[in-house]
Amino acid sequence: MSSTEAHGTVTASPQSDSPSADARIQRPTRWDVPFSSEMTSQEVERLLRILPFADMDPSRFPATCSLRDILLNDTRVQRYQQGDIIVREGDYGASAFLVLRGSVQVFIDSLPRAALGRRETPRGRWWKAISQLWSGSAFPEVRRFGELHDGSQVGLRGASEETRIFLQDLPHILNEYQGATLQAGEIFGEVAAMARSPRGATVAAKEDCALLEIRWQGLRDLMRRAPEWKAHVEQLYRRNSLEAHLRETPLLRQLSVDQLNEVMSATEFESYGEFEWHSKFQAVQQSSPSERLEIEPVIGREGEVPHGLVLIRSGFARLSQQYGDGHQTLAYHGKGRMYGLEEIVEGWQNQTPTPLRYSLRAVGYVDILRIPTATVQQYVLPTLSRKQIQQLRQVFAEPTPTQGRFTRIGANHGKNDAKIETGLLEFIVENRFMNGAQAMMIDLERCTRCDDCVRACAATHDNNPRFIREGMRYDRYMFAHACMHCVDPVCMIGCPTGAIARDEVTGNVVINDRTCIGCATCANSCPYENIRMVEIRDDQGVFVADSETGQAIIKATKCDLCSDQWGGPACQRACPHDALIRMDMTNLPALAKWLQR
Amino acid sequence: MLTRFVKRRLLLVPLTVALWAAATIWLGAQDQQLQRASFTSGYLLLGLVIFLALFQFRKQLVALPLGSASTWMQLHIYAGLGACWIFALHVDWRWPSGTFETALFTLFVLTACSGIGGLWITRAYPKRLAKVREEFIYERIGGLRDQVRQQAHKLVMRLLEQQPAPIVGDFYAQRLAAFFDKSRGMWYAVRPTSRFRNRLRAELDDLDRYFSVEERAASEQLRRLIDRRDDLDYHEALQRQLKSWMFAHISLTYALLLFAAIHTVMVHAFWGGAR
Repeated sequence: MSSTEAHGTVTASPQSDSPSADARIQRPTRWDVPFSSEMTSQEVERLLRILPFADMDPSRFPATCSLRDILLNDTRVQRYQQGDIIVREGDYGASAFLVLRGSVQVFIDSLPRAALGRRETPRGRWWKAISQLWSGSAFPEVRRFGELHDGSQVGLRGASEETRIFLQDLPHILNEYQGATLQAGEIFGEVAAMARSPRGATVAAKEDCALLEIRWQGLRDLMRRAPEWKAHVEQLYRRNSLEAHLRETPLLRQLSVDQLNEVMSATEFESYGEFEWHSKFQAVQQSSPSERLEIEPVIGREGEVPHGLVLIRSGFARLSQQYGDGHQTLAYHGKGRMYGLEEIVEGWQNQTPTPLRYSLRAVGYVDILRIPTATVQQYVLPTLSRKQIQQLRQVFAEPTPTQGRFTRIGANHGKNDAKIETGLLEFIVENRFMNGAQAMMIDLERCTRCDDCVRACAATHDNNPRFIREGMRYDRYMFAHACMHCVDPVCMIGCPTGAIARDEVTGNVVINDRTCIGCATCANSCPYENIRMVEIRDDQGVFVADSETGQAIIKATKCDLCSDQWGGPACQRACPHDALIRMDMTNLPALAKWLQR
Repeated sequence: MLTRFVKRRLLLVPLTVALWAAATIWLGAQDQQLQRASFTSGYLLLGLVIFLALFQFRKQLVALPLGSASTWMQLHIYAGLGACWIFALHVDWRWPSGTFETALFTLFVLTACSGIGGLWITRAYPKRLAKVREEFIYERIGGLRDQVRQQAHKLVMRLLEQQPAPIVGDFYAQRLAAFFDKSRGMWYAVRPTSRFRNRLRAELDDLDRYFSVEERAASEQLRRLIDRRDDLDYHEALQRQLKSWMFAHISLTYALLLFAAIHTVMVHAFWGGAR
């Protein structure tokens, strides 16, 4: 049973044995909320006559998920004017685009940040830093309108989610930056959408055009049912990224070109879990630990012979081991981690298959590469010396449980290895805190509740603290409500103007106040409730309103990790008692070190 | 394996002791050479007190790259301990005679004691606060307490409206209403304990045999509200002490700086040395 089905029926109260008649609702179904209410059957018929849909075999699609239904519910037609930016390099997106009419320009060269409407991150100046002592606004969320015009070379048109940002000097940009033109019938954005990776290039409308936007659910089903579509996406990935990805893997660095080609051709792509896991996160939290584990798709199961070496491309997976009637979480693995290496090496050395010691389950959405065991044993392991194998096994050694309560992080299996309480690991995974690249952890046994951290945050943000010193607790550790600058930044999916984006230099997730239109897509997507929507004011404390509708202007706000300040996050620097830290939760050894400080 | 905090202590404690020893030897040598060692120790002390007071300015200038507050805190602790030693050498281990000097002496001792006391409570109280299941922001405690009071009142009133519940009704009127309505008093603010909470719970346990089924269910909810109210009071008392201590320490520091400045001027004005 899927989580949607599990939570589909609402009952009157937890105590009642059976739901009363008026507490019953119709079970929600997949397409209750189509991508666009404007898609019509006539439009679908037209689409079915053009490529690539004309080549797809409708009989491959089940009646409950027909090609017609996918096009009706998972796609929408978007119209862009000349110069409109369709996708920006570095943005996260959940959809691909098919050019229906007109043409678009894919910029191979990176466009300057200002041209994309990105926020520039000016570093502090001494005077500006000192003047923060007295120049803070007397009212919350004051915006000085002069500062909103930060020299960006983009314009805004449209309203709400239909807002478009456009390149103001398209002919000049087309001349200056190298690119390729895509015409009607061509597709772009599918790899980033399926692999949940940042967009590799900026695409803008070269002329007025119409595009078919296909959301990831539809893309996934097309890949599943239309082999030519799957082959097309995989071919694109193999052509553009696979070789680089495999070359970055320490295990494969020494392979010759021929050997690497063999590995590449045998490598399989697999995706597990829900792409939009964040939308069901709160509901999933209500279920019991065993139920949660049950709905996590299994990538590899303890006790089974490994089918291949798993390389995680994106997302997170839970490494667990059977313990009593349940499963004990030992670690969580993210991008770049491997699973099954020890067993494959052991099986190769002993000439007998070695079963997997641990299970690996998708937490949220996970994208993996699987190199078949036979390929690893035939092409990879023979090229490594015994010492190299030993080193790799140490680097990629899985954590080991110690007496149930602790997990040992490190390969030495000795007393000097760092340890993390297993309960804390379970807590981190259950609440998806492993997603945090800069999670705010507070040690409550050292925190004197002086609020110096909050004051420092406010002082560096015009008297507006950008986090709340409260949040979920595990024992003495609190995960405060501060933006974690996630590894998988679901808040960035769906921002119509790209106002929320990763800083290219620091990797922090920042919001451009100028291009934020206050649609709250990011705040609604953030599973941790770390983005707040605020009504802005002018210098005099008067709420700023839309000149046409009179409605308040709203902006999204969150921690920007003091990206325009010296020395990093002010909250951490302001804590006199070493109680607060911004922690990269993907770095378990660093976490263990901090816990045992 | 040595933790980071232990390593830090192992570095800073010997360093501070070494600096104490060096200062003692230096001042002793000056004294033997019939130089004015008291001037040296006085200026050293003034410099240390100013450095200690600068910590507060560091806290204000959060945007400047002046080092982390944690580093400053460590320097503050060890420089403070060093200042105590220099102070003892400066006053030559004697109680001063004049009124002004006595006031200055008292201010220094009070500031130093508040610092050492503060160091203890900033290490001990967080551990006690962390034992409470829930974390409360100080400014919100008043509002939360009011919510608890209203919940308890509504719970009992609803029960009494539905059916006779004399035992819970009487217990609420005699014991709990005052507990939920009033503040805990001065002594609790100084030394909060869970004694009263435990007593109320024990009294409820004693009455349990007389409860109806509905009263028993209500008493369970009352127990939870008693616990929550007590947790709120406990947090408030400890957090208030943490804040009050800081206020006292900073106020004393400003007074000490003022007196030390006057003392320095007076020493120079009335110095009877060679001209």
